[in-house]
Amino acid sequence: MAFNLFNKRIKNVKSEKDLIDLAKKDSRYFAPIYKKYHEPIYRFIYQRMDSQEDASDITSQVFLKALINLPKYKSMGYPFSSWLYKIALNEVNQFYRTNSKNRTVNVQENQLKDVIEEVGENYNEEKMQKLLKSLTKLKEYKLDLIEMRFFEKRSFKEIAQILNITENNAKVKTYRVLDEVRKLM
Amino acid sequence: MTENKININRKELSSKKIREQENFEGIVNKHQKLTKRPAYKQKKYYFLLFLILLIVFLVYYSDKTEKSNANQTKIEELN
Repeated sequence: MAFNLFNKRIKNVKSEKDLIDLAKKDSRYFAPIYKKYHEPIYRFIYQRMDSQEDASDITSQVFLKALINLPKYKSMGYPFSSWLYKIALNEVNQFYRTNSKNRTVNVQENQLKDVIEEVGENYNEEKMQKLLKSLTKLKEYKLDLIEMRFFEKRSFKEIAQILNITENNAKVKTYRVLDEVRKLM
Repeated sequence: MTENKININRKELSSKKIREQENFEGIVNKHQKLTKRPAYKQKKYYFLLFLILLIVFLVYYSDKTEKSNANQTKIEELN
């Protein structure tokens, strides 16, 4: 009876915002949000991990933290996914800090090509090796910017929302990192 | 200074494989364990407390009426 009522109520909920408001009071309403965002969040984390087990653990941790902090969540005009990505990025960085492991970057060859062209160089094997070497030396937050902008093709607006900075600031920071990469190459 | 590890062209995971790792129940259970209200803040605790007080009051009241009845019969007998 209670389960039917729950299902009926969940069907009547139209917007994500309503679902979030309901989930603030009852965690069962978080299920559709979890179903919607599990895969993108998992991919976002796995992109920065070596093993599937670690990615799976961190994904669970992200959703648990989201559930715990949901009553404090306020929509500031950003999509809900930005908030989840922000938690995910913090969890990934926390994972590397506490385990003192080397940060992993997973990249496709064509994405490296895009970065080389963005830097204003012509793509060849030598440049690719130099780029790889420079990527190994980048600090955590610089790598986050390069990954989100060039490997995941996110807009500056989205990057700004995830990093909690302005769009302009995201642009400036990204191009500063690109300059650093150019020098390292 | 530690160096970042770069993997090139790693195979992407299929959606099916990622879906297999979903575990909403586990997250909700963990959440409930972490956010469970302490015993003294739960409704059932107050109900239990109310029941105990009610029983104590009834026992006390019945004892008192029994005694007063006994006194009454004693007075009646003396009269």
